[in-house]
Amino acid sequence: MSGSGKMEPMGRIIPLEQAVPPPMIVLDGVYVDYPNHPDALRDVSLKLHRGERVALISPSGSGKSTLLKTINGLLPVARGTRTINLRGLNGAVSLGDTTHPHVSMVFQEFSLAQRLPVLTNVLIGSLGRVGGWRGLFGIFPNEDRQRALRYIDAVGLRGLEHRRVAQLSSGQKQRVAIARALMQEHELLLADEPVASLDNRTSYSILDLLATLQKELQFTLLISLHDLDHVRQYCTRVIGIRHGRIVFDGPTSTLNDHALETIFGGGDIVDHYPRA
Amino acid sequence: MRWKLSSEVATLWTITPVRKLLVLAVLVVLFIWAASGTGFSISALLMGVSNMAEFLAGMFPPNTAAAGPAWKSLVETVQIAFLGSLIGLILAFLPSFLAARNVSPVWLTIPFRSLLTVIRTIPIIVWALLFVAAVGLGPFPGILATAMYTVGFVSKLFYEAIEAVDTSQVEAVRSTGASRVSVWRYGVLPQVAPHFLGYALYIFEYNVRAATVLGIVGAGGIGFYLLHYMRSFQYDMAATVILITLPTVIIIDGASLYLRKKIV
Repeated sequence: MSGSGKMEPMGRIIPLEQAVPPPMIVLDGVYVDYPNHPDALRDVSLKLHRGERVALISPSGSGKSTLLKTINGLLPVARGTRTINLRGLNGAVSLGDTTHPHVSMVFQEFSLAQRLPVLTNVLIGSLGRVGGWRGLFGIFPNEDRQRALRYIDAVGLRGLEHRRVAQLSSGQKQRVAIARALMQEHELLLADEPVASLDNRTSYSILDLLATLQKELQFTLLISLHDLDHVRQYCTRVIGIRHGRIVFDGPTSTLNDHALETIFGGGDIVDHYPRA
Repeated sequence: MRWKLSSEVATLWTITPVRKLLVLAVLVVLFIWAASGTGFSISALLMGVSNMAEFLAGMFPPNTAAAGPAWKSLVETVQIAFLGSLIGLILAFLPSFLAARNVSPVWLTIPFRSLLTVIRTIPIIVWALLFVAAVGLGPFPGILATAMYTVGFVSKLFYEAIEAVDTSQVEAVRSTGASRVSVWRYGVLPQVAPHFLGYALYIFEYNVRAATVLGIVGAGGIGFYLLHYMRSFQYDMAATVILITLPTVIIIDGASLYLRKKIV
């Protein structure tokens, strides 16, 4: 990243901002092993660019969550390389292969502290910055509190900041999880089946919210989904995984029956992925 | 796929008639083995009914002269149970995390689990005897014995609760880049705290009952008077001690149960 520009073939120097930005995530021939399941990911190579909204689809147990956790640094790479080139929305920079790169994540089952209030759950998103004894005793800086309140407002939960998460509906809980992820203020937001446990109406409201926030805040969204209608409506690119390998990667418009058969092997498409 | 899963589960839990007979046979053999080794005798029990009736008759009417010292020592019993429980709970807190396999490395879990197992195997009355020998008679050794028993008892419940936490919540906090201590504070502690409180109430309730017998070995509490009146055949005085103890223990049990249901 040193220097202020790059050389074109004709020899003209152009500012870096105008050059094609490098991918924010590059996986190259990545393998991931679990103790009882070697090669959970096999030879996975992909690039994620800034501002993309990418859907991840696969039959159950084929490696969607593993891929998301690998990108997030929650799982180690057994072979291959994972290159992170992220700049936090707050300006912090993360380069290289780090354990906790600048990536936010929304989990399928919300993964919230049920007995803690909404505000504290959202503030958990700032623990990467706060940490130490302040984090231990829950003494968050005032500016973090203000930011948390703004994100709670952004996800439509104003007035519920002091309510225990356990008292919220499933849709509200997922909104809290999104606010916690936003609180990290990272360029890349991963969402692991964020609407799988929600009813249809709530699913659309959550996906609408994610799409709106993505446009406003300009983060990249990599989201695993279970419903092809959602994929077609909200994402511009689709990555299909089967048995731990990427078997499809292209614009959503190219996701035809042949591609679906490649990803799902025919049989269970209708059951799990109703066609649009 | 659903029917297949159900049938697998059903197969797993089905107990065939042969297995039922086998279980019954094992139980019968064990019963005979234990009864023959301990002089268990229904006839002796039946013959003892008259003695029991005589003992019960001696209890009535209860002698209220025992009410004063009994009440005072009952308060002391509750104090022993409270202090012993509190100290034991504080002492058990950290070792429980160090013994939990999902939050501590194996080089810590093995020695701490072994140590806690040793502490747990020693009955409260043995702890009381040890501390009476060490610090003399009175409620103080009773407090120490209750504390040590509490450490052994609740630490296992604590580390099992820690090991049963939802890992996705822990992972979610970890994914924010939080430090280890923050992951513990926000990923683990909120999940185990209600269980810990429930166990704390349960052990207090248990310790009130257990502390009633500590007086037998001179470690304070109402057990001293109960033993004294029984040995001196003052059954009417013993009856007063029992009548004062029972409602207190029942009230503490009920309050503890109510609070535990509210918390967990």
